[in-house]
Amino acid sequence: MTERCGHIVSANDLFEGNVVYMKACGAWTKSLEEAAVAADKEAAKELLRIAHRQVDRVVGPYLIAVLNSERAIEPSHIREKLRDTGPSIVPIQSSTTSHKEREGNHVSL
Amino acid sequence: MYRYDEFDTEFVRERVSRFRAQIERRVSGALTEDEFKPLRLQNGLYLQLHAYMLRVAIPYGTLNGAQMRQLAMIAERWDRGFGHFTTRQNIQFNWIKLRDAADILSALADVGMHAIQTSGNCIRNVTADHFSGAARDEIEDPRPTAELLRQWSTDHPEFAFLPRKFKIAVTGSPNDRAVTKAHDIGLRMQRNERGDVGYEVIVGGGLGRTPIVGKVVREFVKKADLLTYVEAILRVYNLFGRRDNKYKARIKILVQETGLDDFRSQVENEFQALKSLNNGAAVDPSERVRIEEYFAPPAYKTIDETDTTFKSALSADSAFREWVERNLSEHRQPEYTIVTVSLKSIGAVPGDASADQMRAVADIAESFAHNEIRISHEQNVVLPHVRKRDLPEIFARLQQAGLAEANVGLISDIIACPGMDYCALATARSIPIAQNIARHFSDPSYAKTIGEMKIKISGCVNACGHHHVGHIGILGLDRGGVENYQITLGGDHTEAMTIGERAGRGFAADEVVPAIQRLIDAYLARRSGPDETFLMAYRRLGAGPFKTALYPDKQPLPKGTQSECASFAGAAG
Repeated sequence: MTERCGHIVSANDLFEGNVVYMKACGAWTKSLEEAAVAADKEAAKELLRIAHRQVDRVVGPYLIAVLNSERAIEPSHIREKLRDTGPSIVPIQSSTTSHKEREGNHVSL
Repeated sequence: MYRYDEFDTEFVRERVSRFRAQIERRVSGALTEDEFKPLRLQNGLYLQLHAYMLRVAIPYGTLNGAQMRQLAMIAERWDRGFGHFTTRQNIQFNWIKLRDAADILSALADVGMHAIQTSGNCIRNVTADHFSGAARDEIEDPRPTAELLRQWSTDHPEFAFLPRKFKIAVTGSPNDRAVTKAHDIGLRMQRNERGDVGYEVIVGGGLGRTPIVGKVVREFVKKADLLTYVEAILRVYNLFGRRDNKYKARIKILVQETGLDDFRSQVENEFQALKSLNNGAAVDPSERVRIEEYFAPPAYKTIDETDTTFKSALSADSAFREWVERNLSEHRQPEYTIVTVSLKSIGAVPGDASADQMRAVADIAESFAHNEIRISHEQNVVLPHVRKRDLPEIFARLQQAGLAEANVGLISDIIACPGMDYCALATARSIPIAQNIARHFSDPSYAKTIGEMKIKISGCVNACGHHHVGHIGILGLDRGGVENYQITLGGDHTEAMTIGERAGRGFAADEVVPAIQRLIDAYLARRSGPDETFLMAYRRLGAGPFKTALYPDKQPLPKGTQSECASFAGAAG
């Protein structure tokens, strides 16, 4: 059972380009589950305001809608699901691609 | 092929060093993202869904072995071991870190490559027929023209801030493999009545939100006048192209709103004015000759008439025979051939190549193909000069590298943009749809029965996957947060370019393969014979039977009626 529970702030890390989410303390995490959830409009605006003060660390912070789910929260839109989990396809492998990269490359939706 | 002179080398090195300093200033906070973004885009560095993406220019799709090997090195050292060849004959690396970008550009400069003008509202990488210099039907190699345009347009101060991006394609053959009619300017080399080689100039073509087939603005432009004429077009566009609305800023909209005749008059006036300034020739003929010398045909090897290597392999190996039948094209030298290396093995990501595969292609090119490689807009790799006697060895090496799929031009040879798996603009995924179709039609004998088929898939209205000109086009859209796929029928990317007709309501992702199967069933049931391709049958029969096949439960909407999904395209404009 999923229901809309609010908004979180996401961006891309300036240096790595990775997808990141803002925690309650204003720090950034790669884990969506650790993101601060704003339950209403005002709280969401405040989160975004804090994020915009950190544009020396992240690029393009914005709000995404999240739902309550079995894994605490999850994005409501497929685009954000893909940003969270990575491409839904298995990329071609090179002989030098590490096992870790292969594991990290693929998450089924 | 063209080799950088001292000026080129210094120019590219200078750009790398300037970008390195710009990155440092961004990291230190001296530049904001708003200030930095146009600078990184000018160097081909995008920020996509999951990471930075570097788009590297492959001018007119031509590479040598050392360059391909360097791309493999970059893929392994700074990416995840693979790269993605695009419909603009470029390569994209999907997992780049900002701090590595300058080092990567430096590594590209080591082999005479760069990422300049692969983004932004400037003249982009000039594309050309991927069989250029080798095709039997060619009037003249279009690459010297493309190189001339590249040199002229690189860092051209007047055209660095155009209303919108600007794409030029050149073909030297009457059979258009460069999709010239879908470009801002398309150049088709041809002879006039006196036998002189010049260009038919096509303007205002494009796909994207508003697909328009380019129109002939001048039937013949002399070689000596080419740059002057192209400059005249760009001046008119730069002056009158719309800057108030991004979606109406391409030259195709200007031509449409101005009317072709008026647009032509404006260009002619500008052309005459420029000619009087330039004394009628913008290019020193000796410079053209200098460029042409770089593209001289390779030293073809002498043929041993008694050599039976090729013929013996043909009769002994059925897999080889199938591959020869599908993946070769006629070369101007009778004992040579053009090999298309499919990057569409069944279930693979269209256009992706691993570092190992890139090195395998580089090795083959150096050993057997006069060190020449091309990238096609159909996201395949081409070896343009191959002796037929070397084909068995090349095939064996391609098999080892997982590159021997015998499917060129068949239903699994699908163009697909990166879609929502990577692209920040996408509204739906493209790659899994392509993979599912390829897997469904993986039986080689069935694919052969279906015959020539161009399926092209885009993950948004920007149409990087050329869906408008696919025999079957698939456009992925976002419908209330759910992926939905519109099908277009009857598109054609050749000199007879046709924009496909939207069939009707869209399909859920899992409905796409069954829908394609129904189209194929309708085609096979109604074709006049095996020689009538899907496109020929569609043209003869019209859309009716195919729409009925797609929507068996209801009558198709009358022509001109807005379909349920029309609002998507309508919004696209």
